[in-house]
Amino acid sequence: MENVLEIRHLNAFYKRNQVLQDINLSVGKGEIVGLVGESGCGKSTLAKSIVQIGPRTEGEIVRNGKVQMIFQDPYHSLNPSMTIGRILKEPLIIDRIGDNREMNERVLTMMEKVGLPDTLINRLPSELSGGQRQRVCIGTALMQSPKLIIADEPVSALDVTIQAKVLKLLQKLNREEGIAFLFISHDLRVVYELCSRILIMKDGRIVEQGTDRQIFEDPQEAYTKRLLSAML
Amino acid sequence: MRYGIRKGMTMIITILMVSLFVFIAFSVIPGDPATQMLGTNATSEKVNALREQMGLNRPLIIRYFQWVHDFVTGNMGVSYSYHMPVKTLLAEKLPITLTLSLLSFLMILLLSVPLGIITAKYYDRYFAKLFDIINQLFMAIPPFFTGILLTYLFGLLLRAFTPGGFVSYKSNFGAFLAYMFFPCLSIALPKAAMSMRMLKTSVLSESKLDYVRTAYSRGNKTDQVLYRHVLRNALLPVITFLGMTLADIVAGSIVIEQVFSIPGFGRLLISSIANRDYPVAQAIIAIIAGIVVVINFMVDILYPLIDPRVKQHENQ
Repeated sequence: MENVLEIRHLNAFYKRNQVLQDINLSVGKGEIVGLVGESGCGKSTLAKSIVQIGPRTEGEIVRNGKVQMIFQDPYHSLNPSMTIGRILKEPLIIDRIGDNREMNERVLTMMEKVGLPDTLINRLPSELSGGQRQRVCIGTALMQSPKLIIADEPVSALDVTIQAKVLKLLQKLNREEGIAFLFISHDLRVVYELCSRILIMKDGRIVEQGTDRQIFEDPQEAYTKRLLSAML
Repeated sequence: MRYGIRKGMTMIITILMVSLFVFIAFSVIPGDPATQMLGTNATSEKVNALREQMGLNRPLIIRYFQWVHDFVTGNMGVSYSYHMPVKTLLAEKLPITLTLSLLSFLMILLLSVPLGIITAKYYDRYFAKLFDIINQLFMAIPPFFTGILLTYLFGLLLRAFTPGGFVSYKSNFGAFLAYMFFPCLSIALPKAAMSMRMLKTSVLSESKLDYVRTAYSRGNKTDQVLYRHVLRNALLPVITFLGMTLADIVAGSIVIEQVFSIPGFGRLLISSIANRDYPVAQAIIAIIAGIVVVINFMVDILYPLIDPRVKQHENQ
């Protein structure tokens, strides 16, 4: 299977602090990989390193195709003075895709795809609900047809009922468009539902990895067992 | 639209209030224009007759409404000391004061916006830190003192201009503008320093927000993030400040006109108050207040265009 992301021997540093230690991981085409760990373990740093907005790194990150990211907090991830239409259009402007009419058409198509009514096109982020804003974030990430989306706790800031809907949308995108996901969460339940392979992270290292079955039914590491028992 | 009408009403009420306060103030401060005109040796009958003729014996409130009525219909009265219509007197001075204010404002914009952006972009470089120190210095110096320093340095030592050598815009417009350069600079420097610092701080604090990180993750380069995302939001507080500044320099130009011997509104206002030339003083203050209020009005109107959130807020 062709990999959309391959990371070899990745180390990351904030000033002199090493925050990632020898990370090795790969994400296959169309695969949903879960990345689990307590807050502060380096999950988000790893995610940012992959989209090149992280700290100084050593090692190798190979991206096969576009990689985009969705962030945890949809309330502050959107520019407050830009309309929804303009936000969705931006990736096209960056990549210089199409004239204005074509861009607007693509924006409308995308809004439909991620379940946003087209009446919202001239609204500002502050006029939208949390779930709608996260849909805008997802739509923006999809605009450049990425092969992989890094989703950093994409639903933990949302209400439980909205969470389920947004997760369904991500699953649909995976099924219908073959987009791979690196799904970062501290919530094992969500990860179990979504992911076929799970990585467990602790103190900047990946301490255990396996299929969802292996992790849930036969965990090897004491840390993984502790995470599981905390969840049950 | 409703927003505009409401702001317009506020504007008219403000101008009326200001002119009423000025009217009351002039009627309570000591000194009598009739005595001033006739001299202290005049008999009280003569003074009283003149007061009657000038309409000064009528009740204050009647005189106020008469003045408002005349002012609105374009009749500003006759100057007590120059014996010519106030309108003619002011029409000659208004272009001078307006040029002084607008040119200063232009200088503030041209200095502070590019410098604010550059010092924010390179905030950790040495030259940006040096600018911070220079900035601090300029902010602390009041315009009239800058004016004195500039006169000494460029006027007396370097002979870049002739102090006191004001040239009327009527006789030689180029020379008029050239003379206005240093007065404008005196007004502009402290304000430009403030607005530059404000923009720099605003850009830096805006850059820490989550949407900026998102913008980077989408593949924007540093300049694209700065000009597409950060700048627009960062300019909002600066625009409010610049609006207040513009109003402030119109009023503040009075002092600078003194320092550089520019025969504008400011000098006329000071002499008219000293001479108890009320029609002139009152008209000048009403016009300055009007300009200030109109500027604030324009800022209020422009604001929703720049920040759509304001309009949304107003509509709720």
